Amino acid sequence: MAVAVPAVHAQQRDIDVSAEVNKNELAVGENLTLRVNIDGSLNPQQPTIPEFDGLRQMGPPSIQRQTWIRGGTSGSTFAYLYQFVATRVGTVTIEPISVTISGQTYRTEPIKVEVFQGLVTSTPVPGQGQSPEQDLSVAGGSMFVTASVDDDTPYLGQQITYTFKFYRRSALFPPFGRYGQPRFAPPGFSGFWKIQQPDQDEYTETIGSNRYQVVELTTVLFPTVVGTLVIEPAGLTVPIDFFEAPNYLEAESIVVEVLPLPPGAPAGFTGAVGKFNISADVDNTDGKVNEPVQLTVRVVGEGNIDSLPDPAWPDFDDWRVFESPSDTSSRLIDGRLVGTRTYQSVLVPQKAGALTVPEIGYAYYDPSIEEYVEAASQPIVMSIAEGDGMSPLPPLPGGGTAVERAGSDVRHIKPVPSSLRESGGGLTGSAMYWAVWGVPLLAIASAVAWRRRQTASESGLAAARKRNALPAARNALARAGESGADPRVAVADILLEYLSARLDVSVTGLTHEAIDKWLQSLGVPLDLAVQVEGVLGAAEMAKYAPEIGDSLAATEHFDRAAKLLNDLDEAIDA
Amino acid sequence: MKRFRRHIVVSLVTLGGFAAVVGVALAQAPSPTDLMEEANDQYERGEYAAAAQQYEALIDSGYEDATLYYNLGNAYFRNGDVGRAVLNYLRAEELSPRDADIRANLELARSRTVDRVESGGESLFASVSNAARRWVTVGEMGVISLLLWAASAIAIGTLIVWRTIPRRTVVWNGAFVATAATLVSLLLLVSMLYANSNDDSAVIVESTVKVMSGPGDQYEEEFTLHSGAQVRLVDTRQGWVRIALPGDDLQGWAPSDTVEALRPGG
Repeated sequence: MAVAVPAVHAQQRDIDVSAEVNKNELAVGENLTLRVNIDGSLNPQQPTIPEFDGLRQMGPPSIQRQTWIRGGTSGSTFAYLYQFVATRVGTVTIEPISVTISGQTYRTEPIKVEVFQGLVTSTPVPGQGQSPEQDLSVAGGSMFVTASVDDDTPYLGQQITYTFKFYRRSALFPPFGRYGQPRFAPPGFSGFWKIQQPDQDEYTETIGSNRYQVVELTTVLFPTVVGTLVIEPAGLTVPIDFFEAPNYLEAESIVVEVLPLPPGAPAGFTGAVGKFNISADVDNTDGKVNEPVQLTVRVVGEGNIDSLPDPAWPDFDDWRVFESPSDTSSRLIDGRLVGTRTYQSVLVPQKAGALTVPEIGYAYYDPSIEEYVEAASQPIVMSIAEGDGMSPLPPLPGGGTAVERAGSDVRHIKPVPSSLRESGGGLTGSAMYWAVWGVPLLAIASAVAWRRRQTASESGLAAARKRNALPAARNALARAGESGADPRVAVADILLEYLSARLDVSVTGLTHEAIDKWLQSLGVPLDLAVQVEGVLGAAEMAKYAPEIGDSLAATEHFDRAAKLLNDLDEAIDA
Repeated sequence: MKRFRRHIVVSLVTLGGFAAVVGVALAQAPSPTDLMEEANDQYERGEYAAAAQQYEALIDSGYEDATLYYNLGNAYFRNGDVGRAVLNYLRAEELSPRDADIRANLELARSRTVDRVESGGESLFASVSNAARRWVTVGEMGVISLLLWAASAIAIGTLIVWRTIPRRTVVWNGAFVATAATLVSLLLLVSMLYANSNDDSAVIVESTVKVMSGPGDQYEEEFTLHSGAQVRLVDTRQGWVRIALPGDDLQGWAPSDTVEALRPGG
């Protein structure tokens, strides 16, 4: 500390809280360091600092911690260092500072500091600054910062340069960087398009009899709104040495009055401010129809190149145009932003002959002469020959594009069809279409229904035949004598008809073997089966050997047959 | 009564006169094919912009035909509008997917576009549906599935009705194959109908379009597209459309008049 001041203690048990300042007398604008020591607590809360009339706090505190061992016990001492700037002349009282530790509040004693006017020398800073500089030097001048703009009444979009300078007496301080680099806190530059110059200038400057080391930071600004804009104060934290809290220096805010562009802008003006030139060039002035040509348009000049509006493109009649994104390059030369914006397009001539790439205009406002200027590229006359088909386009600059080669022209248009279809939902959009889907389903359903009915009907007929088999056979026997046919044949036919109805098989299928199987399967006694065989055999005898006589009378055949039918019917039912 | 009859006569005469005027007017109005013939003539004379306008008028009046879209694509191509050429060739291809002329011109027009837009990111369902759409129209697939269904029904019905049909196994196998084919074709038809109703394809129709991160010029530029690039429409908001490239890796907002949907009204 530059000035030793007795600490003011607030002690209770083993905890000791004290406050001290590095000086009791200082000038307006001079820095004051307030140190609050907390001894004996391992985890104290940060002290509560009230506002002091006549002192302005500069940023948050820095904290130092020291661990000690006394008489076999260990503890910690915390030191909170606050930076203040004296703002008025007179006696300034640093009110008691409260610290709460384990629920107990400790307060320091008040400290009085005398602030004087006359001890500070305000060193004038040379340069173009329109803003007042802040001089924080003590007598003889030690360090201070300034901020300025080169024009505080610019037009909308006109470049201005914000310059922040840090002055330091080279004889009084070690070289930069020994105790850490100063930390620059730039303003927000609200209302401006800003480009921070990455490099800083360092040089020496003599003011009066003092030689200063100067660090200069510049920021290029382009106002984006009309009206009064305030550039907030820029700050700089400067480390002094290991034992002192860093100094915080702050430049004053700057007021900039942004003027609107004057009336009378030309038709093609799109908002460019500065000084520009425009040029156009093609890679080949001789070409063929459909053979691409690369057009390069450059806008070169001084101004906000990065957000420069595009030129008002003319109509490229007789050309097909494929544009690509523009490229921008800019740099600061003597504090002015200069650069080039390049547009590259592919032009495809659509007809043969002398074709002209028209002039491309670029209107801008030049604040240096306070006039609108209309620049234009030179028109380019090209000689285009008849092409030999469509040739592929070259890949456009900017990457990511690829065009495949096509070997021929488009195929010709088609003749008019006999009729044009009216737009609508189409076939599948009509309800009728989906209704038709039901027709096959209905057909299948009908087939199934028919099959069921058919099956039911067939089984009904068979049952009826079965029921009527015996009565029908009796009736037939009763009428058999009237026909005059051989009774053996008549009886055999009646028996076969009976069996056909009873067994639900066709008469044609009733061979001797089939009848045997059926009767066996139905459990008909063997004697009855033999009788059936006998009847059928007798009928065959009558058919094929009529010369062999019949030993029985017709009525006897009929009676035997009637009995056989009754016995068969009972046997089959059983 | 006399007065009433006079009114009837006057009304009938007036109605007849009106009908005659309308009839004459209709007889004199050129038919759609006449208008298309006229557009073709304009094309042949090299009046490509006028031809395109005439074709567009026909489409606006409710006609759609693969030939109409194909000729319109040609008119735009000749007029240097590759974006609208691609758009109309795509529309023509949808109506007539196996037309070699349409395919050739679409391929040529695509080769004149600046952006390479890789396809991808489709689901299996969408891939199958799109593959089918490249070969048959929805209407054709509708007819195919219906015919297959009818064949299945005939085979099944025959088996039910004629139980003692000769070569019954052959008929049974035919019914099985026809029914399976019906199911597959119906699935394809449904997928194509679904894909059509959800088709959000669109084409960039301005020569250069800056795609922004939000629906307005104040947002940051995300990427640039050129005429003819095929995109997907995702959203619409106050004169801006949100578009996405296949795979949805690149998305952004473009002014709505710079993009045209493949399906009008889509």
